[in-house]
Amino acid sequence: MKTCDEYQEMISTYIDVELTDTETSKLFYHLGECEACRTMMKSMFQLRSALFEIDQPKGKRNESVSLWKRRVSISFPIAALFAFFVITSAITFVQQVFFRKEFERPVRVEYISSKPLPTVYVIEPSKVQTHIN
Amino acid sequence: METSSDAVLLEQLRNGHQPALGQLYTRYQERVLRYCIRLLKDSQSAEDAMQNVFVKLQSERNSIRNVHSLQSWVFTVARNEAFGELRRRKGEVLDEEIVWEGVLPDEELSGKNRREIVEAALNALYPSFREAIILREYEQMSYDEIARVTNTTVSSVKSRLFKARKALIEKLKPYLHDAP
Repeated sequence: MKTCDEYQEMISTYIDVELTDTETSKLFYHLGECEACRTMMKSMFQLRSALFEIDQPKGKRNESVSLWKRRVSISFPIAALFAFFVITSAITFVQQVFFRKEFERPVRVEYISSKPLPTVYVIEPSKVQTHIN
Repeated sequence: METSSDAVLLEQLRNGHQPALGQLYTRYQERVLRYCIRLLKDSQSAEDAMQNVFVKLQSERNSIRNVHSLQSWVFTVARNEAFGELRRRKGEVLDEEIVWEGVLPDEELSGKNRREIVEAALNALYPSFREAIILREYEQMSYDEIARVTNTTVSSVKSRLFKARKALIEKLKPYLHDAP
């Protein structure tokens, strides 16, 4: 029968994906009954995370940060300017779509005449005869 | 652009194709330097150790035979360089099963942020334990490969990693938490 110390060494091997399937089954059976070993498992993953952090360049955001938990902070004047821009754009858009005046609409010209259109003859330049009186 | 494997580049190097050395340098330089810095805790010494690795790669290229992987060879040479420097600094570095190299009192940790505390704790580990953590956590090497680089057994690698992690967890317990 293994001791907790032996199981905790198996945890260390498990997190490195170096444990066999048989050993993994035994380990998880034990974890179901031992809170101390479960705590050690959690601590090993937390340690890994902490060690990963120190290898990152300072100032770089931790890659394990959840996308949904990011906080964005901007100054009030920039936020106010952004809000003003958004509102102005929205008002302009609404005006353009719903309140366009008639004369702003593109004009279509139709020629309407009751008289027949004049006949236009196209004369080729080479056939023009010059009459000199 | 096709990337040549280590074996291909090594063969090219043996045939006198110097650009192959440049490609291998580009491939391994940063990792080897980072490994040496973590072991030696001094960037100048680490830089010297790293350069010596590639000098040896050039000078011993024809004698690198039956090597399981060039990565193992590179890190083994880097380890030998780093441990050689440690011996020069402190006398014989024994592979004793002492986890902490020195005392890391809690007073020394106060006032530091979490990153600095974790870094200080890692640096306080005995070199053989610190190196096991570095090769596993940062170089993602398998136990087999770590055993080859450190000239020890897989069983010894398992044991060192467990003892190092357990010691770090005990020391860093107040500072460990789930990722935000």
